[in-house]
Amino acid sequence: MSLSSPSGVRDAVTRDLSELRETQNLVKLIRSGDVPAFGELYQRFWNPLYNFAFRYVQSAEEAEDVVQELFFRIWRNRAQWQVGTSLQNYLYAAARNGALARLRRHASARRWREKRIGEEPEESSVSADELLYAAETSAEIERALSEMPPKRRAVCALRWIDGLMYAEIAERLGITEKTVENHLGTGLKFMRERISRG
Amino acid sequence: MWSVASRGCDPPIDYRMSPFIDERLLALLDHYVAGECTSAEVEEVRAWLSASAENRPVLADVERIRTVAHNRPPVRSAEAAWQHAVAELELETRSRRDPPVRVLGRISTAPSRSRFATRVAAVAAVLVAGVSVGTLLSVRSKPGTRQMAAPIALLEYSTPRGQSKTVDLPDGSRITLAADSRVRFPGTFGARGRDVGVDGEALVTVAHETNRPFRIHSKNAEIEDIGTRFDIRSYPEDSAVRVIVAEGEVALSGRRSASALATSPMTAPARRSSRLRRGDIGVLKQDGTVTRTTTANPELYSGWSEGTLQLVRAPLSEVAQVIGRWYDLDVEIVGSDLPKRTVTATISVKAPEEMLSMLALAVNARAERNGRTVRLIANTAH
Repeated sequence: MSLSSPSGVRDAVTRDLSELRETQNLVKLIRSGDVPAFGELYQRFWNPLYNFAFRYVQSAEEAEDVVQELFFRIWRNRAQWQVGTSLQNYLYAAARNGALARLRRHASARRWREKRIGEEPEESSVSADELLYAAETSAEIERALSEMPPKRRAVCALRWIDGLMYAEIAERLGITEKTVENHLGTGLKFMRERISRG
Repeated sequence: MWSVASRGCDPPIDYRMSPFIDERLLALLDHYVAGECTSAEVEEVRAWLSASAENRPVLADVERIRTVAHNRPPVRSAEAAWQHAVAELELETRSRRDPPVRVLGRISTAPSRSRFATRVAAVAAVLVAGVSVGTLLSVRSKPGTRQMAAPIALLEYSTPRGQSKTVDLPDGSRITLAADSRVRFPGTFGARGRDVGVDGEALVTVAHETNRPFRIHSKNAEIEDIGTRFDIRSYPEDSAVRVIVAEGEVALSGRRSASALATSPMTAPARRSSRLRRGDIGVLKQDGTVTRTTTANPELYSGWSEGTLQLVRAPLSEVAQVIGRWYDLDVEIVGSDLPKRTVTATISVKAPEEMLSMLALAVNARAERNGRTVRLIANTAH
């Protein structure tokens, strides 16, 4: 299975010109060493990136480490920090690389142990490739979830995380059931498009 | 005729639906996976599935998306990660560009009344100064920290004894306060999180937003909404914080004591949080440990919001407290073993006379009322 970047070659989905300007501004500020701007990076991206990394490494502590390493590296090299057209794409690609590097380290550490210490090889009915494919898909879904516009995201969260019915969601958000259905359908369509088929 | 598989080279499938088929079909599949379809709809879906080999993967996608979305990673705090970064990278967080903020009121929490004050100061030490100030509850500069005191817009609602009140929060969430309780929150929530302080007891219904976690802070507890409706009990005189979930899921966690945080704010450990679901009762003690029990009927415990109080094997001394709170009566218990007698009953908040006579009967005492004072005298006293 090819391990090419899942979304790096996709165009950045920029909804607002003002949003684009805002992220460019953020990057500029961070390059110049502005601490609150760096804090803004944390507030806006830490959680989505943590959730994303978790899908790969399947450990909260490891996922935290991946994101922290990434952010620390950005800060330490901030003067030369280049982001390209999309801050999101940069961050998610970097998080993915960090997560995969960790997985590779674990795999090679395990192989070393199996050879040197004679540790029993891990039994697994699922191949490493299949696990990785599943992780990539979950991570893509995770990213897509966090990038949906707020109303749609709210509907999808209430539906899939809380398991609410249309009527309950409609009441909760003050919209009609038809609107709930539209949001859900559009959300699913949007998410299906984001899942890479490798 | 409309083709459903957008990328396949299958012949179009005859499908008697409206032009916006992709979204409607996907929503229908979502219903199908959730088991909500009528039998006619089930038939439609089955017919569609068997019509082409390209269709089953679409259903699999919907199932996959739902499952992944539902299985959330363990909750972790961006605030704590930022705090760690500030320490590790030695960042100077004193900001020269504080955004202008309107002060509607400053909270002065009386330390003797509630430990919320020290708790909030500790919370302030871990939040970012100068950014999204709207999400802070209160900021006071403490010696040894590098935060600046900043005025913020803050609202507080409270109930006196004998009254309950429902308050709507800026994001659409709703808090019903029990008697003698209070809630604090900013006039507008920031973009990254919604933080609310509670003393006393409250029934909380959260308007869920994936990207803006909702957190209740009370004493040493932090309750994060994962899904929606729970009762939190944390009166100043209680030694523990109790959370009962009626619907959905919350994460209950306790911080290290405020004094520990004050001396070493930069080494806050990753909090282990307890996930509580419908029917779970989580009790967070002062030392941060959580004990769990369950109830088949969580609504029982928030019956107060609809006028009934539930007492379950409650010692009379506790009942006296509850009565004081809800009826604004001062209860005096006369008789050496009377305070220990337990009561299991459902009482209506509206009818004090009835309640008192029933209570007296239950503990084999008699009730003498004089204005706001009630004396419960054991029948076998002296």
